[in-house]
Amino acid sequence: MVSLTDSVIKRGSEEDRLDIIAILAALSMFLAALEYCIPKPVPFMRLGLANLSLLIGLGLLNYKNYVMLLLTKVFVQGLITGSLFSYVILFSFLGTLGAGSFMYLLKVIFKEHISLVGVSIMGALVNNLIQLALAGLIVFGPGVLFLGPPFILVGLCSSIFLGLFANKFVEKSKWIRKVSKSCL
Amino acid sequence: MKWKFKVLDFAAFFLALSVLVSFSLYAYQEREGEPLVHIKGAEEWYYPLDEVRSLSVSGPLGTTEVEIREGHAAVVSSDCPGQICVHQGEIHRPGELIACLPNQVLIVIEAEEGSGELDGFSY
Repeated sequence: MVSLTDSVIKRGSEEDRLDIIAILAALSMFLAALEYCIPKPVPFMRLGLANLSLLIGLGLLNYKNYVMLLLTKVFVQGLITGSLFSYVILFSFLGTLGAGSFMYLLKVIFKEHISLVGVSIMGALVNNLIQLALAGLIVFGPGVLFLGPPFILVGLCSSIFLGLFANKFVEKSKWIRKVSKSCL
Repeated sequence: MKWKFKVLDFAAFFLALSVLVSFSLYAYQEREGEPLVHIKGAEEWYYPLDEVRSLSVSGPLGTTEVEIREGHAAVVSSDCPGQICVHQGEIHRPGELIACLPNQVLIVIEAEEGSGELDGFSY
Protein backbone atom coordinates (compact mmCIF):
# COMPACT_ATOMS: atom_id res chain seq x y z
CA MET A 1 0.00 0.00 0.00
CA VAL A 2 1.27 3.42 -0.81
CA SER A 3 1.33 5.95 1.96
CA LEU A 4 1.18 9.65 1.37
CA THR A 5 3.82 10.55 3.89
CA ASP A 6 6.66 8.30 2.89
CA SER A 7 6.58 7.03 -0.61
CA VAL A 8 8.77 4.38 -2.13
CA ILE A 9 7.61 5.51 -5.54
CA LYS A 10 10.27 7.42 -7.32
CA ARG A 11 9.45 11.12 -7.43
CA GLY A 12 8.65 12.35 -10.89
CA SER A 13 7.97 8.88 -12.20
CA GLU A 14 4.83 7.88 -13.98
CA GLU A 15 3.59 5.98 -10.93
CA ASP A 16 3.90 9.14 -8.93
CA ARG A 17 1.52 10.99 -11.18
CA LEU A 18 -0.88 8.07 -11.35
CA ASP A 19 -0.87 8.20 -7.59
CA ILE A 20 -2.04 11.81 -7.68
CA ILE A 21 -4.66 11.07 -10.29
CA ALA A 22 -5.97 8.22 -8.16
CA ILE A 23 -6.16 10.35 -5.03
CA LEU A 24 -7.92 13.17 -6.81
CA ALA A 25 -10.30 10.75 -8.50
CA ALA A 26 -11.12 9.25 -5.12
CA LEU A 27 -11.75 12.76 -3.82
CA SER A 28 -14.16 13.47 -6.65
CA MET A 29 -15.93 10.20 -5.93
CA PHE A 30 -16.35 11.24 -2.32
CA LEU A 31 -17.60 14.67 -3.33
CA ALA A 32 -19.99 13.16 -5.86
CA ALA A 33 -21.40 10.95 -3.10
CA LEU A 34 -21.66 13.99 -0.83
CA GLU A 35 -23.51 15.92 -3.48
CA TYR A 36 -25.81 12.97 -4.03
CA CYS A 37 -26.81 13.14 -0.37
CA ILE A 38 -27.87 16.78 -0.59
CA PRO A 39 -31.61 16.98 -1.25
CA LYS A 40 -32.44 18.91 -4.37
CA PRO A 41 -35.80 20.50 -5.03
CA VAL A 42 -35.31 20.11 -8.76
CA PRO A 43 -33.42 17.13 -10.18
CA PHE A 44 -31.23 19.14 -12.49
CA MET A 45 -29.63 21.53 -10.04
CA ARG A 46 -26.09 20.28 -9.77
CA LEU A 47 -23.57 21.82 -7.39
CA GLY A 48 -20.56 20.34 -9.11
CA LEU A 49 -18.68 19.61 -5.90
CA ALA A 50 -16.67 16.91 -7.62
CA ASN A 51 -15.00 19.57 -9.75
CA LEU A 52 -12.82 20.47 -6.79
CA SER A 53 -10.46 17.64 -7.73
CA LEU A 54 -10.11 19.11 -11.17
CA LEU A 55 -9.21 22.50 -9.74
CA ILE A 56 -6.62 21.01 -7.41
CA GLY A 57 -5.19 18.87 -10.20
CA LEU A 58 -4.71 21.85 -12.51
CA GLY A 59 -1.44 22.86 -10.99
CA LEU A 60 -0.15 19.33 -10.57
CA LEU A 61 -0.60 17.45 -13.80
CA ASN A 62 0.43 17.75 -17.41
CA TYR A 63 -2.32 17.70 -20.00
CA LYS A 64 -2.14 14.01 -20.74
CA ASN A 65 -2.51 13.12 -17.06
CA TYR A 66 -5.13 15.81 -16.59
CA VAL A 67 -7.30 14.23 -19.27
CA MET A 68 -6.91 10.95 -17.41
CA LEU A 69 -8.19 12.72 -14.31
CA LEU A 70 -11.14 14.10 -16.26
CA LEU A 71 -12.04 10.64 -17.51
CA THR A 72 -11.84 9.09 -14.06
CA LYS A 73 -13.95 11.90 -12.66
CA VAL A 74 -16.67 11.24 -15.26
CA PHE A 75 -16.52 7.51 -14.56
CA VAL A 76 -16.64 7.87 -10.82
CA GLN A 77 -19.42 10.44 -10.89
CA GLY A 78 -21.36 8.14 -13.20
CA LEU A 79 -20.92 5.30 -10.73
CA ILE A 80 -22.27 7.35 -7.84
CA THR A 81 -25.21 8.87 -9.67
CA GLY A 82 -26.04 5.58 -11.32
CA SER A 83 -25.92 7.10 -14.78
CA LEU A 84 -22.86 5.24 -15.98
CA PHE A 85 -24.67 3.15 -18.56
CA SER A 86 -27.28 5.65 -19.64
CA TYR A 87 -27.11 8.30 -22.29
CA VAL A 88 -26.77 10.92 -19.54
CA ILE A 89 -23.14 9.96 -19.12
CA LEU A 90 -22.53 11.42 -22.54
CA PHE A 91 -23.50 14.85 -21.27
CA SER A 92 -21.19 14.52 -18.30
CA PHE A 93 -18.39 13.20 -20.50
CA LEU A 94 -18.54 15.94 -23.11
CA GLY A 95 -19.21 18.66 -20.57
CA THR A 96 -16.39 17.67 -18.25
CA LEU A 97 -13.91 17.07 -21.04
CA GLY A 98 -14.73 20.34 -22.74
CA ALA A 99 -14.80 22.40 -19.58
CA GLY A 100 -11.75 20.68 -18.12
CA SER A 101 -9.69 21.27 -21.25
CA PHE A 102 -10.84 24.86 -21.29
CA MET A 103 -9.78 25.31 -17.67
CA TYR A 104 -6.40 23.80 -18.44
CA LEU A 105 -6.03 26.15 -21.38
CA LEU A 106 -6.92 29.14 -19.22
CA LYS A 107 -4.36 28.16 -16.63
CA VAL A 108 -1.67 27.66 -19.25
CA ILE A 109 -2.35 30.92 -21.07
CA PHE A 110 -2.89 33.19 -18.10
CA LYS A 111 -0.77 31.48 -15.43
CA GLU A 112 -0.56 33.83 -12.45
CA HIS A 113 -3.03 36.36 -13.80
CA ILE A 114 -5.99 34.16 -13.04
CA SER A 115 -6.63 32.31 -9.82
CA LEU A 116 -8.65 29.17 -9.35
CA VAL A 117 -11.78 31.24 -8.71
CA GLY A 118 -11.86 32.60 -12.25
CA VAL A 119 -10.93 29.22 -13.69
CA SER A 120 -13.67 27.59 -11.67
CA ILE A 121 -16.28 30.11 -12.84
CA MET A 122 -15.32 29.65 -16.47
CA GLY A 123 -15.18 25.88 -16.14
CA ALA A 124 -18.64 25.75 -14.60
CA LEU A 125 -20.02 28.05 -17.28
CA VAL A 126 -18.60 26.01 -20.14
CA ASN A 127 -19.69 22.74 -18.55
CA ASN A 128 -23.25 23.98 -18.00
CA LEU A 129 -23.56 25.51 -21.45
CA ILE A 130 -22.36 22.32 -23.12
CA GLN A 131 -24.80 20.24 -21.11
CA LEU A 132 -27.69 22.62 -21.79
CA ALA A 133 -26.94 22.62 -25.50
CA LEU A 134 -26.79 18.82 -25.60
CA ALA A 135 -29.97 18.48 -23.54
CA GLY A 136 -31.69 20.91 -25.87
CA LEU A 137 -30.61 19.05 -28.96
CA ILE A 138 -31.02 15.48 -27.81
CA VAL A 139 -33.69 15.36 -25.15
CA PHE A 140 -35.86 18.32 -24.45
CA GLY A 141 -35.88 20.65 -27.41
CA PRO A 142 -36.53 24.32 -26.73
CA GLY A 143 -37.73 23.55 -23.20
CA VAL A 144 -34.17 23.93 -21.95
CA LEU A 145 -34.45 27.65 -22.40
CA PHE A 146 -36.67 27.75 -19.38
CA LEU A 147 -34.37 25.61 -17.23
CA GLY A 148 -31.19 27.25 -18.44
CA PRO A 149 -30.83 30.45 -16.39
CA PRO A 150 -31.36 28.94 -12.92
CA PHE A 151 -29.04 26.10 -13.88
CA ILE A 152 -26.31 28.55 -14.85
CA LEU A 153 -26.96 30.70 -11.81
CA VAL A 154 -26.54 27.80 -9.40
CA GLY A 155 -23.36 26.83 -11.27
CA LEU A 156 -22.02 30.37 -11.00
CA CYS A 157 -22.54 30.58 -7.24
CA SER A 158 -21.19 27.15 -6.44
CA SER A 159 -18.18 27.57 -8.71
CA ILE A 160 -17.19 30.78 -6.91
CA PHE A 161 -17.18 29.04 -3.54
CA LEU A 162 -15.43 26.02 -4.94
CA GLY A 163 -12.77 28.24 -6.48
CA LEU A 164 -12.25 30.11 -3.22
CA PHE A 165 -11.82 26.86 -1.35
CA ALA A 166 -9.46 25.47 -3.97
CA ASN A 167 -7.38 28.63 -3.83
CA LYS A 168 -6.99 28.40 -0.08
CA PHE A 169 -6.30 24.70 -0.24
CA VAL A 170 -3.56 24.95 -2.85
CA GLU A 171 -2.01 27.80 -0.93
CA LYS A 172 -1.96 26.12 2.46
CA SER A 173 -1.74 22.40 1.82
CA LYS A 174 1.47 20.60 2.71
CA TRP A 175 0.50 17.72 0.49
CA ILE A 176 0.37 20.00 -2.53
CA ARG A 177 3.74 21.45 -1.69
CA LYS A 178 5.27 18.02 -1.35
CA VAL A 179 3.70 16.66 -4.44
CA SER A 180 4.18 19.58 -6.81
CA LYS A 181 7.95 19.45 -6.52
CA SER A 182 7.89 16.29 -8.51
CA CYS A 183 5.21 16.92 -11.07
CA LEU A 184 4.75 18.22 -14.56
CA MET B 1 -7.16 36.92 5.33
CA LYS B 2 -5.30 37.79 2.18
CA TRP B 3 -7.55 37.54 -0.85
CA LYS B 4 -5.76 36.09 -3.81
CA PHE B 5 -8.00 37.58 -6.45
CA LYS B 6 -6.60 38.47 -9.78
CA VAL B 7 -7.96 40.85 -12.42
CA LEU B 8 -9.05 38.03 -14.68
CA ASP B 9 -11.15 36.52 -11.90
CA PHE B 10 -13.43 39.53 -12.06
CA ALA B 11 -13.36 39.38 -15.84
CA ALA B 12 -14.43 35.74 -15.67
CA PHE B 13 -17.16 36.62 -13.21
CA PHE B 14 -18.57 39.42 -15.33
CA LEU B 15 -18.38 37.32 -18.44
CA ALA B 16 -20.35 34.55 -16.76
CA LEU B 17 -22.80 37.09 -15.38
CA SER B 18 -23.42 38.64 -18.79
CA VAL B 19 -23.97 35.21 -20.32
CA LEU B 20 -26.48 34.50 -17.58
CA VAL B 21 -28.31 37.81 -18.03
CA SER B 22 -28.54 37.63 -21.80
CA PHE B 23 -29.64 34.02 -21.64
CA SER B 24 -32.37 34.93 -19.15
CA LEU B 25 -33.58 37.82 -21.27
CA TYR B 26 -33.78 35.58 -24.31
CA ALA B 27 -35.40 32.66 -22.56
CA TYR B 28 -38.02 34.58 -20.64
CA GLN B 29 -39.15 37.00 -23.32
CA GLU B 30 -42.86 37.19 -24.03
CA ARG B 31 -43.83 35.17 -27.03
CA GLU B 32 -46.83 35.86 -29.21
CA GLY B 33 -49.12 33.26 -30.57
CA GLU B 34 -51.25 30.58 -29.13
CA PRO B 35 -49.42 28.33 -26.70
CA LEU B 36 -49.97 24.63 -27.28
CA VAL B 37 -49.49 21.69 -24.99
CA HIS B 38 -47.26 19.21 -26.74
CA ILE B 39 -47.47 15.75 -25.18
CA LYS B 40 -45.12 12.98 -26.19
CA GLY B 41 -45.60 9.48 -24.88
CA ALA B 42 -46.34 6.33 -26.82
CA GLU B 43 -48.17 8.71 -29.14
CA GLU B 44 -47.91 12.42 -29.72
CA TRP B 45 -50.55 15.12 -29.25
CA TYR B 46 -50.92 18.87 -29.47
CA TYR B 47 -53.70 20.51 -27.50
CA PRO B 48 -54.63 24.10 -26.73
CA LEU B 49 -54.82 25.26 -23.14
CA ASP B 50 -58.36 26.60 -23.17
CA GLU B 51 -60.44 23.43 -22.98
CA VAL B 52 -60.57 21.13 -20.00
CA ARG B 53 -59.12 17.78 -20.95
CA SER B 54 -57.92 14.58 -19.29
CA LEU B 55 -55.46 12.41 -21.12
CA SER B 56 -54.00 9.02 -20.42
CA VAL B 57 -50.52 8.85 -21.84
CA SER B 58 -48.98 5.40 -22.20
CA GLY B 59 -45.37 4.63 -21.62
CA PRO B 60 -43.17 1.64 -20.85
CA LEU B 61 -44.02 1.72 -17.15
CA GLY B 62 -47.74 2.30 -17.47
CA THR B 63 -50.02 5.29 -17.71
CA THR B 64 -49.39 8.93 -16.94
CA GLU B 65 -52.54 10.99 -16.42
CA VAL B 66 -52.28 14.52 -17.75
CA GLU B 67 -54.93 17.14 -17.15
CA ILE B 68 -55.40 20.46 -18.92
CA ARG B 69 -57.64 22.92 -17.11
CA GLU B 70 -57.85 26.69 -16.56
CA GLY B 71 -55.00 27.36 -18.92
CA HIS B 72 -52.59 25.02 -17.11
CA ALA B 73 -51.30 21.55 -17.78
CA ALA B 74 -50.28 19.18 -15.02
CA VAL B 75 -49.59 15.53 -14.34
CA VAL B 76 -52.30 14.16 -12.06
CA SER B 77 -50.91 10.68 -11.56
CA SER B 78 -48.30 8.41 -13.01
CA ASP B 79 -47.08 4.83 -12.77
CA CYS B 80 -43.50 5.83 -12.11
CA PRO B 81 -41.55 5.14 -8.90
CA GLY B 82 -40.29 8.66 -8.20
CA GLN B 83 -43.48 10.65 -8.83
CA ILE B 84 -41.35 13.69 -9.64
CA CYS B 85 -43.63 14.49 -12.56
CA VAL B 86 -46.66 14.67 -10.27
CA HIS B 87 -44.86 17.08 -7.95
CA GLN B 88 -43.85 19.39 -10.76
CA GLY B 89 -47.11 21.26 -10.49
CA GLU B 90 -48.67 23.20 -13.31
CA ILE B 91 -47.15 24.68 -16.42
CA HIS B 92 -48.60 27.18 -18.85
CA ARG B 93 -45.81 29.33 -20.33
CA PRO B 94 -44.07 28.45 -23.60
CA GLY B 95 -40.87 26.61 -22.88
CA GLU B 96 -42.05 25.16 -19.57
CA LEU B 97 -42.03 21.41 -19.40
CA ILE B 98 -42.87 18.44 -17.23
CA ALA B 99 -41.13 15.19 -17.91
CA CYS B 100 -41.65 11.69 -16.59
CA LEU B 101 -38.34 10.19 -17.55
CA PRO B 102 -39.04 6.66 -16.29
CA ASN B 103 -42.26 6.43 -18.24
CA GLN B 104 -40.84 8.45 -21.16
CA VAL B 105 -43.57 11.04 -21.17
CA LEU B 106 -42.86 14.64 -22.04
CA ILE B 107 -45.21 17.61 -21.74
CA VAL B 108 -43.96 20.89 -23.18
CA ILE B 109 -45.74 24.17 -23.74
CA GLU B 110 -44.85 25.48 -27.15
CA ALA B 111 -45.65 28.71 -28.86
CA GLU B 112 -47.30 28.32 -32.23
CA GLU B 113 -45.06 28.15 -35.26
CA GLY B 114 -44.01 31.42 -36.76
CA SER B 115 -44.61 33.57 -33.76
CA GLY B 116 -41.49 33.16 -31.64
CA GLU B 117 -37.82 33.05 -32.53
CA LEU B 118 -37.77 29.33 -33.17
CA ASP B 119 -38.56 27.93 -36.56
CA GLY B 120 -38.26 24.30 -35.65
CA PHE B 121 -37.05 21.83 -33.08
CA SER B 122 -34.87 18.81 -33.14
CA TYR B 123 -35.29 15.88 -30.86
